[in-house]
Amino acid sequence: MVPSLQARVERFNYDYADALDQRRYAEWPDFFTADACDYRVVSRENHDAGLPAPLMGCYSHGMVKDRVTMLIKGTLTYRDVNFRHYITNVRADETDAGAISASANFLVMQSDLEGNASVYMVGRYEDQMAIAGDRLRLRRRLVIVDSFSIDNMLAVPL
Amino acid sequence: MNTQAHGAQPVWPAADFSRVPYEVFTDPRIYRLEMERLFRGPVWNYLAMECEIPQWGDYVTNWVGDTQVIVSRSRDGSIHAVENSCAHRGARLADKVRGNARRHVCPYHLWTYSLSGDLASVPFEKGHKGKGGMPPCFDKKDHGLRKLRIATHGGLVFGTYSDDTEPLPAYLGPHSLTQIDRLLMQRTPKVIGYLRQKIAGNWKLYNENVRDPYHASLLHLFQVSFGIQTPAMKGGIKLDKDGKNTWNHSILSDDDAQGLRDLDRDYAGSGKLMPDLQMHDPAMLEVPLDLQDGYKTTLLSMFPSLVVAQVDNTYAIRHLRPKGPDAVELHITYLGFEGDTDEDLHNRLLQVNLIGPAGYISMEDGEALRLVQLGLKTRHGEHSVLEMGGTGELHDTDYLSQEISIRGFWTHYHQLMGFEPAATEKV
Ligand code: FES
Ligand SMILES: [Fe+2]
Repeated sequence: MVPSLQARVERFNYDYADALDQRRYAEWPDFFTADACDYRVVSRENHDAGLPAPLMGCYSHGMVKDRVTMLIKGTLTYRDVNFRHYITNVRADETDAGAISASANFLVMQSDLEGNASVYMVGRYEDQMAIAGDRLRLRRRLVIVDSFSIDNMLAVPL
Repeated sequence: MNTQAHGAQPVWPAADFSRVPYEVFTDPRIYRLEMERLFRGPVWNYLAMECEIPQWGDYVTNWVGDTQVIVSRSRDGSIHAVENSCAHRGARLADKVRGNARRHVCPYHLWTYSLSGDLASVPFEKGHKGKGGMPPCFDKKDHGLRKLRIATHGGLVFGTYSDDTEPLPAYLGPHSLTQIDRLLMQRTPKVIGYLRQKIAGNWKLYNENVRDPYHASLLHLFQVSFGIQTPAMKGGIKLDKDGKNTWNHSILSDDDAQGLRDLDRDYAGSGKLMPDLQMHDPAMLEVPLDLQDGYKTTLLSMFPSLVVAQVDNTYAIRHLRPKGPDAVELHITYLGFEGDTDEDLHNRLLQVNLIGPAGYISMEDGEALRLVQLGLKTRHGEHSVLEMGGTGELHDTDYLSQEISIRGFWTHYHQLMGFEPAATEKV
């Protein structure tokens, strides 16, 4: 059976979340197309007001790689917590051959090393994807954050 | 000393404020006293940028200490700030962060105020069909909103509760005036975004942090690795007359690359410095300084809660909003300028990655404060140590590894809080 577009995008999101939640940061850039990619985390406050500054903005594949390289190499002193993504309300449409427009809601919980959990982030993904053979890749992921008063820091991408 | 302060009397063993009692970061009684004596005392509190409220009725909300205020523009162009709490039974009036309203109407019983805070109308003031209503002695003049006095400089709007606060230019001092002119008056700023960071630490720890260039090249390894700020750089601090406002700066110079290589030795053993690390896309580090005066980082820290920061080509207003003794929101207004080209804007959107809660060279400050707050929590009666750069008299420096500007902050803080005099002899 050929999985539906919907199912493929859901699976993509689960794989993406797994790479981040299991700290396989080196895999994260592979979820983006290598030629042109755009990853932005924006506050809902700025997004709704039409203000362009993101919290985090990667406008090339190199910048996407740099975000996780700094984590892997320990160039940043970031808080050691466990994250878990919950991705729901996925909607996906084929726009033209080989391209998908999709969106989803996400919730990210954080648990500290003494086992205390709290909500870290709530928001929405707005995606443009490319179909490359049997893989999907992001050309653009806009992460709109409702919980934009950031709890401590945003070191690990969403 | 009133009774409220009594019992919240921390010990300051060093007259040069090289020792700070840990209680000031944890004691809720001291926190309440700060709200009274500092934020409602003889200080100018940052409220807004003028460019955020260009039109009649435009308003923004902000926090003075932990009190919310509404800052708005009147028909005649004047700016007003009032507490966001109804004179009737205390309801919050404006429940949005910003907007436009030509009067303040309380949602509860529709008492209506002018933008300057005067009570204009009370529904059923005279009752209904001769019954009810307010007593004859009720005078609307006695029931306005609580107001702040306003002053502006360089597009920054400040407010004070006290009649004794010195005029704004004197309060800011010559270094602040020079820097506000340099950063905000040569071009017309405009807001290109807001960034907010919840920090699990006392608001004064952030004041220490921005007056502490000693940590910059140690905590923020990204900026050392990529030469944004290194201990090899030239730079220093300048203090105002009270020690309360500080300007610290670092200067780009030709020998920085060699300096960075030499540093390898100083960091030896820590395993932290990685001079060979390359970025896959270093575009954000290659934007030429747009002011062309060689200043790589300048931090202007103004008592009690404002920082005007330039890091590379990023220009930002950082404002502290205390949320109790152990939490503060850092609110950042990120600026571009009228006349910015598409390329300028693109560069600002590249370099925003350096600052804020996701910033390569600033995300760690929140984490450092969290760790300090956790670490000092139960050390009642003990003190932090501020001796880097020398003890004794406050003075300007032409070096960066110093904590003198932090002692400047405490000198002024101690005075405004009315604490018992600090020891005349150093511990
Ligand atoms: S509380 Fe505001 S009108 Fe009653
Ligand atoms: Fe810092």
